[in-house]
Amino acid sequence: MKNIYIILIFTLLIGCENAEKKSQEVNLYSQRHYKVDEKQYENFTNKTGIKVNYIKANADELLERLKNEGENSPADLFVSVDAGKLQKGADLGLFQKVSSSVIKNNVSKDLQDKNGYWIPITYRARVLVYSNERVNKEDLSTYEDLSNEKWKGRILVRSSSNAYNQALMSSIVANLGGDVASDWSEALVQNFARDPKGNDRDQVKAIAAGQGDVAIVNSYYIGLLLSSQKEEELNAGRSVSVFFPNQGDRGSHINISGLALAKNSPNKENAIKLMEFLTSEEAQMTYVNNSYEYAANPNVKPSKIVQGWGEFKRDNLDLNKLGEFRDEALKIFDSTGWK
Amino acid sequence: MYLEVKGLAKSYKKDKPIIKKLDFSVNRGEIISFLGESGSGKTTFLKCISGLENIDSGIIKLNGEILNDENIFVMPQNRKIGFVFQDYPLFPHLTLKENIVFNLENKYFKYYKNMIELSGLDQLENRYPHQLSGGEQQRACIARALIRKPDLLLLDEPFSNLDSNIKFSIRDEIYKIIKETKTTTILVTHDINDSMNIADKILIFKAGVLQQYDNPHNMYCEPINCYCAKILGDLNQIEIDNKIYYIRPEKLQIVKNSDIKLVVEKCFFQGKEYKIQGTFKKNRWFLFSPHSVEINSEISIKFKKTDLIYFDNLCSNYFD
Amino acid sequence: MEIKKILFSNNKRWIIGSFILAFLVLLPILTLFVRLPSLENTTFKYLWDTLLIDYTISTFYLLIITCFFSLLFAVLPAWIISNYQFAGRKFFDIVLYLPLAIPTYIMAFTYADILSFTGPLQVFFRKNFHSISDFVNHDYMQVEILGLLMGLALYPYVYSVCRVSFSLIGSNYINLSKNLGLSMTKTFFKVILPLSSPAIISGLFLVIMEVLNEYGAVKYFGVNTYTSGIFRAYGSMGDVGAAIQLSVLLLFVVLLFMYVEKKYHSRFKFYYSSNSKIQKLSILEKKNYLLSIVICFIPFLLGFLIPFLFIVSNIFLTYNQIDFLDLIELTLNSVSVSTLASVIVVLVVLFFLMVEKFTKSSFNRYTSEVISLGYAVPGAVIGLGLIILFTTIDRSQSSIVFYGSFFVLIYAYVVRFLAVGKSPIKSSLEKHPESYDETAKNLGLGPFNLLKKIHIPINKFAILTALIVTFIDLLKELPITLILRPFNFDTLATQTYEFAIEEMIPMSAAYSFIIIVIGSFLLIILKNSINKQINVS
Repeated sequence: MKNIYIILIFTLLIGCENAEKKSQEVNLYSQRHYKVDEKQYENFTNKTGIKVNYIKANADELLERLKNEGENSPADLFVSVDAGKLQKGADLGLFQKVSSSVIKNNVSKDLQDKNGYWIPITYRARVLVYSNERVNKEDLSTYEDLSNEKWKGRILVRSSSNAYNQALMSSIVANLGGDVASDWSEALVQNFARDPKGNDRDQVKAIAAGQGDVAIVNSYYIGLLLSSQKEEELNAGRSVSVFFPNQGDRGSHINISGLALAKNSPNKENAIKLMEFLTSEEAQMTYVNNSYEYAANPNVKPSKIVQGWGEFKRDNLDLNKLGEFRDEALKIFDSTGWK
Repeated sequence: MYLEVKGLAKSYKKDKPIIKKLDFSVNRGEIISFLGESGSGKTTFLKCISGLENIDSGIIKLNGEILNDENIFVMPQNRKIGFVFQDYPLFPHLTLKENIVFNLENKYFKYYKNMIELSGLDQLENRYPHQLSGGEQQRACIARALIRKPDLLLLDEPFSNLDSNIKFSIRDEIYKIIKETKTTTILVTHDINDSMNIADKILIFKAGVLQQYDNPHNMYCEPINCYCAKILGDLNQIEIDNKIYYIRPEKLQIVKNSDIKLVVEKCFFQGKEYKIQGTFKKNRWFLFSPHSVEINSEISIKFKKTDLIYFDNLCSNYFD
Repeated sequence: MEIKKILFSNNKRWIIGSFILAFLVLLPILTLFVRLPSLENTTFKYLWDTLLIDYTISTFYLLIITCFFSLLFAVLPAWIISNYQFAGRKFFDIVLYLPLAIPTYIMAFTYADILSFTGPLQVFFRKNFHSISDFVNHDYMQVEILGLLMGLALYPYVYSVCRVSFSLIGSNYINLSKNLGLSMTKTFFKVILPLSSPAIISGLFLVIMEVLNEYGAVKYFGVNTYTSGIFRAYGSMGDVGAAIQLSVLLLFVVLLFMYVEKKYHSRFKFYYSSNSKIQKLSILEKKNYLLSIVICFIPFLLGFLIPFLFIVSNIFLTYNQIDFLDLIELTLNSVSVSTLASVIVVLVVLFFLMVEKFTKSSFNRYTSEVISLGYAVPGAVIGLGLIILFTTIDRSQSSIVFYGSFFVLIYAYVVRFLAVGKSPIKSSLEKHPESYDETAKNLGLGPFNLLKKIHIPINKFAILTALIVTFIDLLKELPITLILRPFNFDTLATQTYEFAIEEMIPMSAAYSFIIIVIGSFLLIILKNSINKQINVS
């Protein structure tokens, strides 16, 4: 019995100790959990001697945690893979503005937050992939066109509970208005090859299996699929091609992953140093070499696989709109039966 | 008085007392038998005495010290009372020896050898409970209680789970052990034969109160009411002058001719005599005869008027 | 003789103690109730109007399918193994428990991969039997398949109770019904199954709980259950209030099931005389041998062998990318928090059950019932309750930083998994007669010695069972760990999940492999412990 108390007290102490050690460290609440991130943090620590601590969880849970912790929050930075969540955090008053000329110079202007609450580090595009056998590239044009009757029973996409789909719908609401978006969604659902399910990789496999012809997927996951260790998956990946929609008008929908400085950040200076580091050319190179994202720094070219899809025009929409129109997007999903 | 119980009352639910009022006392070294039907509150009574239950009102005094009254409650572990439960609960993870010396103070260890010999368990010390027979488990429980030299030993239905062929020998052995250790004992049972065989005094408990408390002989011959009378043995009912009297079977004699005639229903041999069951004026009667009689024949009976027992009519109404 | 002036003062102390502890256990859930917004809340109203019927239908549909498959995989093998002697019996008696070591979400992700167009099954047909490969080319991510997979992952809950129950029901009954002219099949359906039904229902209840709380697998297969609804309200809509309302709704659904289970249990609790000796097994007839082997082999093959081999093959594929230091560190993390939490769970459970036994008060009977409620609430919701709770405490008393420490994590684990640790200990305690306690008290034992000298030794297998079952559940635990873990803290489960949702399933193989190996190892110990209980009682 006694031993248990000792262990209990001990764990308590560890907890307290963690919270009290404040010198030369920076604390992250992160939705990103890739191995490349750990590598970046290691590089940062080697360079500056500042230790990077992180908790990885879902964005909403982390925001809720941040909100409830208030002034006592140990968090310095919030990391998300969805501009919508960054906007939401800013809206809740959880962040503070960052004005660093280093960062401003590091990243493309159109990717930056107009209000200055968050900064981008990488971005991905929501693209179309199509069967090389069954689809003519010329038949593809825009997201909107996918609701055309010619695609009946041919469209594959994952569930509406996925944040990337929600961001896409938000961008359509922001660009074209709620009514157009709603009509589009309704018609698109009629064209679905099957009920939404699985992840993005599964949509590509479904094209290979012949269950559908065109899928809406995240560019990042195509990259992953094309570097699979499994021969069969590579074959599936090679049986499809990537298409960037809306090149004739507003450009393809993109979403960023980015950082925001917590309002009550206890290690503000370190946090800004980390932000500057992550947007630097050196760190941006690490991102593109270890993942299939596009770099927010315009001087850094994406990885070979990604470059193979060619350059594309991206939608210049204010990315905060991806958060602002989230509720409306969800209601459209539900009312039009996009599961 | 060694054990004194005064005005003991106990209920689990407010308006349903199990024990309404109980007064009695026990002398040192006596074995008394607490006789009652199953579910009448016998085990509750033992739990009150041993402190496993707190009493609602009354006083329990043992050896001059109050165990339980309005203000005082001595915890069960501080009462020197041995309790042997109905289902012989030996702890399954301990050997017989470990069970007997379980939580035993050092000063009692010297009795161990004597106790285990007395209870005839000396060859079985290292066995586990599931390797012992029912009788052995029973004796082990009693040895476990007695080794602590209790002021009082409580036995709850000690023979009810035993086969009838070994029951008698165990009963005798237990009697021997108790008497040899001169332990004051209360034995709770529903079986009058156990009471008669082992107890110095019998306490009949019914409807939440004490009915009669006396030695077996007096109780048999002078039952205080029809309930006690019936418990102690068969009774034959007879109506004389509009009053209901009772008479014990062995007081009846078969004669050649008399006013009282009985139609024989059954006649069975009991070793020494025949027991005859017959009907007399719609009442079922029992009597004994050295000779067999024919079924459905009529026999004549006589008895002495002084052997008749009288209870008020109300009595049988009350208990039935 | 020591005399206590105040009557039963000791009892009062225990009752107050158990009240405080029960309050602490329920605090995270109570916190949610305090934050419960009114029903006018727009998000909830919106969900109610648009999606709730869909959620209800698919939740219950999934439950029915999962329960069906759990019964299918559990009951017959348990019957065969409990009653017949055949070559391979001992082997099956061990391995049929093993699917419990595989987390449901890993089962779902793995099978989705195996059955997919690029998975081994379809590839095999494409390469060797091209003409019929089209017949196996289906979309296997259907709710029915999900039910089957969850049945595979969860049937051991039913299997274990059946196995114990079938072995305990005396061979007397079997002999009796044979004597009355019933065939073995009829005996099974007319005597054994009715007698075992309370046990089977309690096993199914655990299956139902797991299905209701499952999130990862359900989301991946695109099936919307109540729990997905909670995450939709919480995650996508960002409406914590609506998420809490949905959780409370889910809680009521669970309470409904709990009530049915209790009712059934009390109505049909048969006091059959159990076997005192090890049951003599019948020798299986030759003609039935093959069939029995197949019946026992299928749950093991589908529920364990195939996913396990697939995971092992993924390890070979990613061998050069495995970070072994990381693997060791996460294993130590997982094992240490799971050990600590499961020990605390068992201690707390023992406390409540002993106080209940000791005071015999009806209040304590209720407290030891309600502490199970945590199991009915999705882990993420308990996490949310604790965040709200501790941030409130932290704010008012800023010097104490409980929050974000192992303390909170363990606290949440304990709240969530008390019920898991409770059931084996409780049922074992119920088997022993009250007179053990009374004798021990009569022999002068206080409550602590009663526990130490009597109840711990005679219930040691049940306690071991409780420890192992809780430990395995904690090893697989995901949502609570994700949200409440301290900085820089990963477990095998979180790492597995992170790779899985990033669509890098092969990379997760090494981590899930360790979960499965540790779990399997413990389940083999557990199986011995269960068998000892069968033989002892």
